[in-house]
Amino acid sequence: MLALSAKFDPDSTVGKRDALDIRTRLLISLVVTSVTLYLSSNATLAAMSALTFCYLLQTRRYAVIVAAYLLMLLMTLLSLGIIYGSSRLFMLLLPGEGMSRMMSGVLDNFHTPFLRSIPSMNVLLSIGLNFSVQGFVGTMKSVRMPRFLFIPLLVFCRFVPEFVDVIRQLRDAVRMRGFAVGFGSAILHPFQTIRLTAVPLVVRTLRMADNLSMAAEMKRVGYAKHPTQLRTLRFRHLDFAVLAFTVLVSAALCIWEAHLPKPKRMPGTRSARSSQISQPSGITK
Amino acid sequence: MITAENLSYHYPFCDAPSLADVSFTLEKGEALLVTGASGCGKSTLLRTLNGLIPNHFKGKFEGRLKVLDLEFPAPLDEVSAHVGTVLQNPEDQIMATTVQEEVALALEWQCVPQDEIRRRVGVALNSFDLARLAGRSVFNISSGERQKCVLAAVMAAGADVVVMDEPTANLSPEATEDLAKLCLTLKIHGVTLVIVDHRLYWLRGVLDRLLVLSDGKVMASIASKGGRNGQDVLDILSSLPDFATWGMRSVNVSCPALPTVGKAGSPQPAVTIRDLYFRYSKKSEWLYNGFSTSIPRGAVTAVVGANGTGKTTLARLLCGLLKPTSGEIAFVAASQADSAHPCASDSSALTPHQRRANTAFVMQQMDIQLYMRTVEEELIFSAPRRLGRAARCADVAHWLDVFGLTHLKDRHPHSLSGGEKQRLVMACALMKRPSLLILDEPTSGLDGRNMRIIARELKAYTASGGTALLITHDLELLSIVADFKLEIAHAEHPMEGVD
Amino acid sequence: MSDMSHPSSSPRSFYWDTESLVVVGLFTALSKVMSLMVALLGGGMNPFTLFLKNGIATALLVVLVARVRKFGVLALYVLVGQLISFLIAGGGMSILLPCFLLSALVSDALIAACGGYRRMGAVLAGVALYDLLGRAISLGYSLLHARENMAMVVVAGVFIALGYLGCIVIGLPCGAKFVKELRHAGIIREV
Repeated sequence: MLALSAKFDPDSTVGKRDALDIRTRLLISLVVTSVTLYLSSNATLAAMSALTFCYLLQTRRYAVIVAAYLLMLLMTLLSLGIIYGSSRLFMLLLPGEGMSRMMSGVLDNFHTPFLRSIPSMNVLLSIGLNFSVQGFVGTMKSVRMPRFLFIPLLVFCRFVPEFVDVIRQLRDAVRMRGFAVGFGSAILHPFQTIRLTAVPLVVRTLRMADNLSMAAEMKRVGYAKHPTQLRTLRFRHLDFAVLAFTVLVSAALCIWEAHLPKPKRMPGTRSARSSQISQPSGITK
Repeated sequence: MITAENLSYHYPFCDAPSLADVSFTLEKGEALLVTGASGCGKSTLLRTLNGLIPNHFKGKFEGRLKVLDLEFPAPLDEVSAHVGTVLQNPEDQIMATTVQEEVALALEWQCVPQDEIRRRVGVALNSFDLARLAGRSVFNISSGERQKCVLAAVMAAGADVVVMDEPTANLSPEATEDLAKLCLTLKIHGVTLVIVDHRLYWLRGVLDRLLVLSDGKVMASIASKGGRNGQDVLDILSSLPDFATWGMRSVNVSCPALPTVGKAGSPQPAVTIRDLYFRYSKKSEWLYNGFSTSIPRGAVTAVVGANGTGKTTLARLLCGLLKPTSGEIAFVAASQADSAHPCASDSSALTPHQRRANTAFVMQQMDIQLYMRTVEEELIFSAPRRLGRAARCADVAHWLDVFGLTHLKDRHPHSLSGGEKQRLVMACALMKRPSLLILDEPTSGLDGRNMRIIARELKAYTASGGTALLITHDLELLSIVADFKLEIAHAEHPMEGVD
Repeated sequence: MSDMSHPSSSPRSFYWDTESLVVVGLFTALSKVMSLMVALLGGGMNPFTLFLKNGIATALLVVLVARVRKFGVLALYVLVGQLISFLIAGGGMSILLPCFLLSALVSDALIAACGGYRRMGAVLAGVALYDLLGRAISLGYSLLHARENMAMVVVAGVFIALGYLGCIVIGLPCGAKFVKELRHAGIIREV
């Protein structure tokens, strides 16, 4: 039964491969989110949003993209509602001129922070839609990630789906005892809800840890300085080109941002309020 | 190949030694079974052989142990190069996300060159019939395939000795048979096997030696060479006068021939299922496609079928944890007014909530079914809210006594042994006074004594008018308790058990 | 196959043993999955969800620290958590990694100064400080992200404070209770 030799190509067993290396996607994500934090004008943020949207369209998962945008719209409206409601509540609970002045501008320039979220969402989605755990683990090995990071990250990637399944089973088990773990029970019986969910999960996790650490020890995972790999990850020309393009465009947008005239601040926004705060207290009274 | 002389081991923080003066020898290509009741020291012996003791588990290690030319205690990397280990739950042992990566993992960290890794992985995948699953996620393969994946990884790493801890605990009878064949093949190729298991029957014809442990000491050491008239070691074991006192399982088990539910002569049904349709999502295949059957009252019905046919899904549908896409699940009221397990409704389709109230479900994973600080609190928590305090306390005392847990009532449920936990979970289910009791692999990893306690109480429950549905691969349990069988086939094929 | 050669390497010892690293990985996974589940159940911006989610995460962190009991465990948890966030949240907060790391190291130092990882009081003080510093950094990030509208930052600050309240009111007591129980059950050793 035991074969003596066999030809094996591990690359032939995996499905359709991503056009870009996962390291490229991660670097793009880091550059875009960092640059977006610096940008604050509508024009530059809109340009960044448009460019990253084109990058996202390359995944060709149009239904997911539409769903993600609709969800983001919904979350934005919900957040606005909560922020507006909270500001009214603060004004009611803490009446005073300072509070009312600060909260009166709660919805001014609200679009800028949300516009800033769009490029981040685009790059995040493009990672998510192309993500493969195998690719990520391979990247960790190829960049020679230290053992103290490699093992926890490997365990994380392996056990997130496992935990989702364990939580489903736990929910079933608790329901069979006549309790429903949900939002209502969490409000009515928060400590009982935590006991019913966290105790079994923590015990299960610690038992998993015992077995898994034994397995890792026996396989000597993390003990070699330079482990070899079943599959080799390669940076291709396209990766270099896309990375270079990202850096150039980001730099151009930063320069554009620096040369744009500063918009007039509305009352209640940062510049207006900071000038008020800096005034002697006697003047504000 | 393996020589153990007066091997003793004492875990830190334990009063008694877990191994005391264990001696044995094993030649290349031989198979040794280490067995005994729960807590006898089997797993500890396995941990000394694979080097986890004293490298991973600290404590006092005495005696002489030699594997090949390696004198123990030895560094774990040197031991692991020769000794491969298969733990009880392969899912807790697999670290990679695909089959091929798992098989290659140990080789990668041994810095074996890529070409050599590919050759060995190819050999191992072909040898264990896993080549078609090479790129598959470990989440999307069956328990038996996961077990094979772990074995393939061990063999690819070049193990001369393979130690297995309860390898059949989660395997179907077919997968268990495959494992026995695999063990024989490994032996032919010179691989030495050390197997720790409660289930004995599947090793008939595989074993060369057998050790029975109790409290860390060797109670019996049997070798086939020089055995009486070439008898199998299992037959020699069963003929020993003390065999019945060691709390072990039977050496001879066969698949029981059970009548199918719904045939003429079956008792009155307790649950009827009509035109059941179910699938998890609109994109997935139908698991149940017009399925109809009935479950007889006062009997244990075994649900049998291959992995992935939806046995646990049926249990979740019956309990009201899942809603059928369409169809009807009805609980038929007992004809006797004095039944100990009254059903809340007459013969009518129940809502999922009503089904949950009338059903108890003992799941496979015990840790997620225990929540409280003491065994007693756990049982009180399981009692129906409608019962008064006095009735609850009386029930708790009764079930503690029945399951032999009275002396453990102040212990933390998670500090109990596997067998004690299983008994507690079953007691919690019976505290609910259910009309229908569903058990999913209740005896996986249990020794003979605990298995027989579970079987005895299951029989007592059905004798008092209760209805039980049993999902298990444990042929020994099936042969003791099952009255009927309900065969589940894939939905694309015709269903069995039609009324 | 049994005749295959075995390149043997000399045994190496590390500050972080494999078991501790596996526990950190598993608790990071559990914490993220549970936070996601709670958020899905009650909505991400729901004040009660925020309260509960942070409480559970803190309780798990207390158990993790009591289990691993090594200087730097908070820093390692932060490092792993931030790398994961970088993957699943697109990078944003990851640029604040040095700040988070420093706050974790300060909290680790507090635990060491208060008597070490075997003392529950020290563990609770360290986790409370870590949560406080972590939230201060989050507020700083909100300031960067929504600097055009300070009122929005104030509202975000209130939500962050609510999360911290969850850590203090639910997380720390529950964490301490779990550790006591796990020790009673023999799952976490006392010595």
